[in-house]
Amino acid sequence: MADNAEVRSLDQLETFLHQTEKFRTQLSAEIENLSLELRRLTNWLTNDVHSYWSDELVKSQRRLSECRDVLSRCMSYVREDERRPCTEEKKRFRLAEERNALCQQKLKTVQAAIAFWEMERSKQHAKVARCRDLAESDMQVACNVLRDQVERLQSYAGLRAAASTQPIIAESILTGNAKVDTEERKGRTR
Amino acid sequence: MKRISHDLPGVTQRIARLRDDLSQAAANTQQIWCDDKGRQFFQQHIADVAPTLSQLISSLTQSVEQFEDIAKKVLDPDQNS
Repeated sequence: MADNAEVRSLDQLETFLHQTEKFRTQLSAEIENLSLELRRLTNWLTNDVHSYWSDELVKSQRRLSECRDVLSRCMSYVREDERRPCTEEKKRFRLAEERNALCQQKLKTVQAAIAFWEMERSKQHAKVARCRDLAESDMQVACNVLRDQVERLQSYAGLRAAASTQPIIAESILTGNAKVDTEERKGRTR
Repeated sequence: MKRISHDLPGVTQRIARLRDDLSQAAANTQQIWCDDKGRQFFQQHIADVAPTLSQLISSLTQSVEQFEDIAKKVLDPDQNS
């Protein structure tokens, strides 16, 4: 024998169906947004940032080489009275060395960050994929089941309303015994 | 280097709100759909939704912090803007 069906508010069930459909659509859209954002951040790190520091390293090496040459020329002398302090040249060379060291260190940091971020993304990929399945498949099934249930109860309530104004406690059309709230049903048939 | 702005916190917040709204709607509906079919429906189709989204939200919250940390570390201190 089928179980007793007990739905106290068909309106509430219909509302829940709409809420579930809306949830499914919005979750699907947010998962898409999320995937785009994650891809954008990854591209920024692997392309923009990596290129920036690679270029800066090349520039800093060129600059260091130029400063070394300038300093070398400044410090070279034939006679003792030609000897100069080259303070400015030394300062520029030191700054160029510091910049070159910074660029090397930043490039290593970027490479480590890319590896770390890729690892985190691969961990996250499974969770995002699960939520995408949830939105596109699982919740679609849930909406179908819910819609089917609502339609059965609507048909049942419609038939009962046509037949009687008595409280409905009777066998449902397909699923077994049904009980739909009398006041609500009266309201719906008015 | 161009700085990057992103909406990961916004997406995370919106997914959390979707989770909370569905949980609330499900709780309300469970009170009016009291038969075995209803119980089975919530068990089979709804019960896993909040935990699954919570896992993603927690992971995203962590990712936002990690990314902010990375973004700070790769900045050029000599760059004016």
